[in-house]
Amino acid sequence: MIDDWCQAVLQQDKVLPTGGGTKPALRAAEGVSTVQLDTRSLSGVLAYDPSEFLITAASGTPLSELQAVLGEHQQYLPFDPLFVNEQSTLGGTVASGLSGPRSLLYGTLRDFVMEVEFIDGLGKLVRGGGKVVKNAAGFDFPKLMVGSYGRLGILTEVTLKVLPVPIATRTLFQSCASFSQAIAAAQTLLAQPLPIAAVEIGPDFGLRVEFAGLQASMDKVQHRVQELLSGELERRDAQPLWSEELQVSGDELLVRIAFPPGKSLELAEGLAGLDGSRLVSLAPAGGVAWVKADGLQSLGDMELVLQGLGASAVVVRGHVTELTLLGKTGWVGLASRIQLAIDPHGKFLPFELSAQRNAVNG
Amino acid sequence: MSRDTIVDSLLSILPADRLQNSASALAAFQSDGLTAFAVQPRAIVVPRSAEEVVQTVQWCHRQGVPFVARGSGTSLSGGSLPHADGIVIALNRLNRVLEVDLPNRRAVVEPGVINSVLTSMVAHAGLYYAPDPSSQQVCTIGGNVAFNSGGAHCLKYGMTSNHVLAMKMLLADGELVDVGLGGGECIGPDLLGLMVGSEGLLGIALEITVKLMPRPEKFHTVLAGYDTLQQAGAAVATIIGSGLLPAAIEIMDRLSMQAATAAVGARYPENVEAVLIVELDGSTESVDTERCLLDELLSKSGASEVIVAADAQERATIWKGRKSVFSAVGHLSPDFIVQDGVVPRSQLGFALQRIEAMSREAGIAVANVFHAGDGNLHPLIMFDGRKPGELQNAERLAEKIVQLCIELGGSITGEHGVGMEKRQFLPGMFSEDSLDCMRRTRIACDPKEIANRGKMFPDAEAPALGMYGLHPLEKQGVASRM
Repeated sequence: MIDDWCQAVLQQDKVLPTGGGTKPALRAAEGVSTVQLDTRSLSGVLAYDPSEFLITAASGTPLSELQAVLGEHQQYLPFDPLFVNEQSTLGGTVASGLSGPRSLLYGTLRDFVMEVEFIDGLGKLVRGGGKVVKNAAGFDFPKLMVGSYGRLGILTEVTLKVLPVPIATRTLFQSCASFSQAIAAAQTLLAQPLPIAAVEIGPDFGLRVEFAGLQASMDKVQHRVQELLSGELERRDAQPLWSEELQVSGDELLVRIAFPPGKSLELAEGLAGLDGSRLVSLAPAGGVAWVKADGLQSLGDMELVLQGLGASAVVVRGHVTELTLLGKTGWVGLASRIQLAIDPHGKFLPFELSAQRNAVNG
Repeated sequence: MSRDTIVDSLLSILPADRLQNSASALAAFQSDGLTAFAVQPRAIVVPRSAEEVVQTVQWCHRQGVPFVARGSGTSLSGGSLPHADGIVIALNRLNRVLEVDLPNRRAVVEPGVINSVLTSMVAHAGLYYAPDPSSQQVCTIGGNVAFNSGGAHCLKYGMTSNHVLAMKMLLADGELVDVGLGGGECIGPDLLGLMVGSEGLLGIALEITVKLMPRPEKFHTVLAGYDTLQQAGAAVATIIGSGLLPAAIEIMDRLSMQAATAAVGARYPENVEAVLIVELDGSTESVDTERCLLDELLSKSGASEVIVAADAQERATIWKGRKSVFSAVGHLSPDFIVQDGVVPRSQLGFALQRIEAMSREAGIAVANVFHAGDGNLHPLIMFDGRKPGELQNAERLAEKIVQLCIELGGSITGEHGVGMEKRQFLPGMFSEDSLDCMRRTRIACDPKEIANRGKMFPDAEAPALGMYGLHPLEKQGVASRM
């Protein structure tokens, strides 16, 4: 299979790796003729030794399968992958660069990709990183592949670092009167050395905090959180976090925003002032927000807010005709230079074309 | 270009006092922490501003003159060794902390800021900068970024790469780019991740935004003695397997303990072959709970004696002993080579047995200290370079140990980088196609291959040979190694 893909890269004009299709907007390329390579035909766990905290699997492996295998040994993917129940794949997860709200405890996806194998634009099989939890040899291709949107290589194999599942978790909810109050409360908590797994602010200024650790410490940590935050705290262990509700319907678009951390309040208030967009969740510590837009026509106003704050965004779900980037896109220049090195003949979809078109349309 | 031509040409773009080319200056910069190599550059540029760095690099690009960016020169892999036809850009004067954002727990620094200085600047707010290479009292954050430095506490907190949130990067062709948004997440490929740890081959970081962490309010640090290294190794597996994630798990063997005792008077359990250092940290609530579990695990692990640090003073003594080992060994033996290989955790015991056997066979003493939690070995191979053949024998043993790490599916370097020292081993880890793709990536940022030319890639020109041993800073007791 890998040989076939190498051949496809050599022989076809444009190739596009696909996975479970849970982030379709990242691979949209209407009007461009591409040969799609379905990575799901390359699936399965290749190596897993629980004592090493490492798992190696083919790129088309569904994350649900990985989680099941890890779960038998009380281990998990600490970056909190999204869309697992919708059959998202390992390769698609890495290429989309998405982590979930619980990544606050141990780190985001980039911190857990230890080794990658991919086909470059010359049709050669390339490896970066190593099957160990600590490694400083060679360029960090594992990180470069995070968020590469299928444009820097066709991932064939990934080794992830995994960790023991926290023995206990607890979720607390506090209603706040404004974004300002919710963000201040989040900052108060984050300044303490507490085992915080997730901090999210919802559209109605609600603050959700999840912490993790040993069972015996949970009550003590809750007590501490209660002391730090004036106001009533409610336990909501059973409810999903806001950013686990990322479905779109009709013309709706799901937009992921990455923003400089000092801009939480301006972003939340800026987005609240837009007619066609709704905040799903804002994670002030990681600098990530999820927003739903009514359709393409709503992106123009959002663009203005993002530009003003130095934030970047991408449409992840919903119908778009191509990779749709918003806000600060200064990164595209360097990404395109690196792409030209890895893929000198332009076999993968470009980053830049979209940026240029957006600039014209925007 | 001749030395005189280089100096004359640089004087046309920089004030005269930014340039050093006296015999003593050139000699002072000829080596870094890996004293085996010594090369004198054509000249040394000491810029006072980011703008001067930009002008210097643009000049290098125009003229095709190689440059090596250098901080404090503590690299253990020869990463900041000068190029004979090039210049050194010493970044020590770019040492301003540009911004400290306490509510969002981050700081923006210039590359010449000393690692531990940042921590002392934010300590009043209960924050610290987590990466803690042993040379943190002297090494610069710019150097840490170039080599993705680790430290004893990267088991829990990760390496430098996990703590850098954004950078203003000067590529080797003179273009300035921003990578990362400052919040830890970005859109598009993780270009920041590519830049950190690229060993100075892509360009120079001029502004670095780093994460500050809340200082743990409680520590629980223990020393546990074992009759064999294997028992200590097994205890590591038990602790890791229990779900605890200590801040650090280190192992020292008997020779390392002897060295540390001789050097700083560190006290260890009597008559043991190996000692395990485990440190828990975090909130009072978490540490109080976790220490009960750790005590239980250690008592079942066959430890002959467990010493708990009763206060901050005793904790400091334990770490002082651990961090002194390299320089302490330097006092026992005139010269030594430090290796930095990584093996899968499950292979730790086997790797140690093999190293012991190889050491016996070669008749060369090897002391072992390692970051056991992540399988990162630091064997210290001792020899006397004045005796004919000893250096060569020691190097052969070092090479065997590196090969062993590759055979066991590990890495040739966990935290010191490839640099000058290990480039011939890189093909043992990566195929020609992989190395070619890395080379093309380098050329995308540095078309003339002038940034730290001759490092990391295996086909670079031959090194100048010298002697392994203590860095001048270590001899003064200023720096130590991990």
